[in-house]
Amino acid sequence: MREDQIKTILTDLNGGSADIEASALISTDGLIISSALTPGMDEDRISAMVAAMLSLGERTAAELARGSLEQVMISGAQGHVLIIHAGSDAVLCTIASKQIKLGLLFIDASRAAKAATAILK
Amino acid sequence: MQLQSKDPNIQTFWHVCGLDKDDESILWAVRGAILPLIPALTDAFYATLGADAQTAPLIEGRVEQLKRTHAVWLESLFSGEYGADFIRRQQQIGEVHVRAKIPPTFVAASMSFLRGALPDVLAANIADKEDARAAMGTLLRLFDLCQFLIDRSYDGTLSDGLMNNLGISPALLARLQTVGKKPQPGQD
Ligand code: HEM
Repeated sequence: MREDQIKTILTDLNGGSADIEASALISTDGLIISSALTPGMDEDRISAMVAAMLSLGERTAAELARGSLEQVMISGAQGHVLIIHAGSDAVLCTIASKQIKLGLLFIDASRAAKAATAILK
Repeated sequence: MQLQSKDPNIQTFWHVCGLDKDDESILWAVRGAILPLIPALTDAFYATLGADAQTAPLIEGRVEQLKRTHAVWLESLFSGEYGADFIRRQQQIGEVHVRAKIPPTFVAASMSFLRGALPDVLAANIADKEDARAAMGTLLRLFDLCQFLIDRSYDGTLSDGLMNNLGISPALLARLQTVGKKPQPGQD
């Protein structure tokens, strides 16, 4: 039931924009909670790496006195990966193409993270 | 035997290896018979390290001092105290060996030496066969626990080490370690 609701949040997030290619909700320990990834993406490896990125981002933000972490953004030639908290124990990872408007990505991902947080509570 | 660690990996090690409160009394019961034999065992251990081309240079010039610290460590296994201080001490020993650039394989080989030597020593010196057998089981568990704790110093998993700087929890580290290597093109 809870899994279905989270899956729906992810598919809605992906469906909301043609430029959002995939998304996943991951525990801060690096385990997949639910994912809507594209074929060829390794769920296990992505979940561990994303949780590690978030941990490192948190540590860096704290070390440099930037307050609690809001997001980690990775940009490559082909697009972006946005990592944000969904509550204290989970992380939402959104994978988008280069064409996406970043404002839109932030809004959509934040909304999805909020919805997932409410379900995980 | 009370476990006093919040680290989930140590907790699981403890539960699966089967250390429990009887182990304290088992080793305490044979302590009197074994402590006098520790110097001879320590001598044999350092003779072995001194006879190997790779380990000999690492202990050269400090054998007497090392024998003393090693004997104190062996005695601590019979102390009946295996709580937070015991765990911290093993981690500290690991850090000392990392700093002294002792490869972890040599520590593993040394533990193996002790695992091999102890059954005969216990059998020959403890009158009650059942006590000797039980003490061996407990000692083998403790050797493994010590080796696990010492080994962790080598891969930077100590709470105040690299992983702590990166903000990686023990559970996430275990995940990163087991998720598997990405196959490289051209590799089998
Ligand atoms: C069963 C495996 C071993 C145990 C339990 C053990 C135990 C110890 C202990 C308790 C200390 C003192 C730590 C401290 O100062 O707080 C120590 C130091 C040391 N050990 Fe070991 N040891 C083991 C294997 C080895 C091996 C295989 C070597 C080398 C071939 C070695 C070389 C040294 C050296 C060089 C030091 C001194 C380091 C320093 O003070 O700079 N140890 N060991």
